[in-house]
Amino acid sequence: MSVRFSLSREPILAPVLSAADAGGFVDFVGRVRNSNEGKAVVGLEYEAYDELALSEGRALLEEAVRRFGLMDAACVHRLGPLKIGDAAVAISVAAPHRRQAFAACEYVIDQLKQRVPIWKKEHYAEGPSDWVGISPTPSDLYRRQITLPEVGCAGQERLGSSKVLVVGAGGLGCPALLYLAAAGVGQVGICDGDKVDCSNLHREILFGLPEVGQAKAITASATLSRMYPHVKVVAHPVRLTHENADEILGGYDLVLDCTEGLRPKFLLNDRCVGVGIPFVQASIHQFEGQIQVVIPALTSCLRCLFPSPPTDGCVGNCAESGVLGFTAGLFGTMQAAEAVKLLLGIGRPLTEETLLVDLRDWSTIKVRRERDPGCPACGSGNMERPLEVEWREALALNANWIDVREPVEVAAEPGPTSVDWIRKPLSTFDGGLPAGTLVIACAHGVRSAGVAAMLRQQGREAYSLAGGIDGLVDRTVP
Amino acid sequence: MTSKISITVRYFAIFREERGLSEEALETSAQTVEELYAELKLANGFRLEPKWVRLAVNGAYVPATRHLAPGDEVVLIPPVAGG
Repeated sequence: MSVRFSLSREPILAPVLSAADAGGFVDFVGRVRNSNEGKAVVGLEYEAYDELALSEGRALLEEAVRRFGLMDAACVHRLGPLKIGDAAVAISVAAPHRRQAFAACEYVIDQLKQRVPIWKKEHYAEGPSDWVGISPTPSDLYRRQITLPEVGCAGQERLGSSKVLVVGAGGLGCPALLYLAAAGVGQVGICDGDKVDCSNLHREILFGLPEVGQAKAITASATLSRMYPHVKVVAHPVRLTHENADEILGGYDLVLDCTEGLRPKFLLNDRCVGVGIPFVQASIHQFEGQIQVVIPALTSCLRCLFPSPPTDGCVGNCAESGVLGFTAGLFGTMQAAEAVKLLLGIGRPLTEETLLVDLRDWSTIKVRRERDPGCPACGSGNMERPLEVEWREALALNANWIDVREPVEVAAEPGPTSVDWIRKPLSTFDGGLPAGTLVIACAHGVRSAGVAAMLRQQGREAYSLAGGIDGLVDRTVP
Repeated sequence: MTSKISITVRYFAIFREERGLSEEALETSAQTVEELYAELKLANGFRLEPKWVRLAVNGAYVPATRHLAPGDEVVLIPPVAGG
């Protein structure tokens, strides 16, 4: 037995079920009535979010089968213009006995009106036509927050017309995305080029075991769209780079930096400052975290504090240092809070300070920060030549390509064949490098950053391939 | 001979890990925050170069040349990467 849920633009009839072991069959047909809430109705129109209506409708029927022990269930919903007396929806269920059949039929029509994204526009004998909520209206969904004097209907509308981009769907990004979408932010973007990994599930609460191996941005957007169909969720399933940043950031009102690693954090800082988009920045380390709000040209940015960031190896990351899920959860939630405060002009967001919290003993410090007029990102200073380069930038350098991975790694993954690799395993590294510009590569870009930094100290023009060779293998390399 | 002053130092993230403490009271002959960092780096083997470290005194980020005063609360803040 498989349940059937369909949408039809043609006139409909109650679906016919046959089940030899069922004794109670109930068909329900909903028809267009000539009045609603005292107003004379002359006709109406149904519109659906087809894809979601079909999946949600099917899920509802399967749920009814389990709940009432049905033998079969089917439902068809009419779309398009309908006249008085036309059938709008027809539900048929088959159960062992009449009692379950009546109850199941009532359950399906009640739930259908609440959950399945189909909207009805009524045409009245007098006055303009009106959309009637089958799915809940904004005032149903957000009543509890609209009640707050700081939000109100105007605030809710402002949230509904806002666009927020979350960069990094990890430990910080997952709770931030959930709270932004739940709050009714009109458009929520998700930028992440990674796939779900089982070792991150402890803090990436939008994902579970079934999602392991899937593209994070895509699966997160599917989950959020299902949970909050009235929010527009946009997936950007790519890693943010110098090349694509401005295009992805364009059009958003606010950005949340939920990335992992200093390189992406400083890249995002530089591009947000460049494009002039405010962002909420957070980072965690074990039981601690930092959070601050940057409004370009008004507040200090990350480079006012740290003009040239260290490479990631020096400060630890979640993989090396370890982290508990709730540290990320707390800070991601705080980022969503700062975002909503900024969008609605509530309270005093962390624009002038960095907040540091240690969950071990709940010690908190707020550190006042000021703009540096000589800042290389938002002031008069010049940006230091970056140590790490993307593949495309590296190709343009006309450099010698040095692979410092060990022979066993090279055997497993030789890397792109479009450049001539000089293999110099780190374990037997003896110098002896060719003259000219060098691009150093390893598997993930950590060892190569160390080698490139060392070579620079020796006065060489050296760069490290960002993300390493494994980072390229996942993508199409030109 | 320079006399020593008493200050409090708080450590965050990688510094807390490397020092093994969140906070300590200490006596220092360092005149400025950069001298203090050099002293602490030597004593505790901190790996971060001074240019990668920000110090805050009494709740505000300060320039490296800021002079220390008795009773100052100094916070060592590294850039943090996790997400």
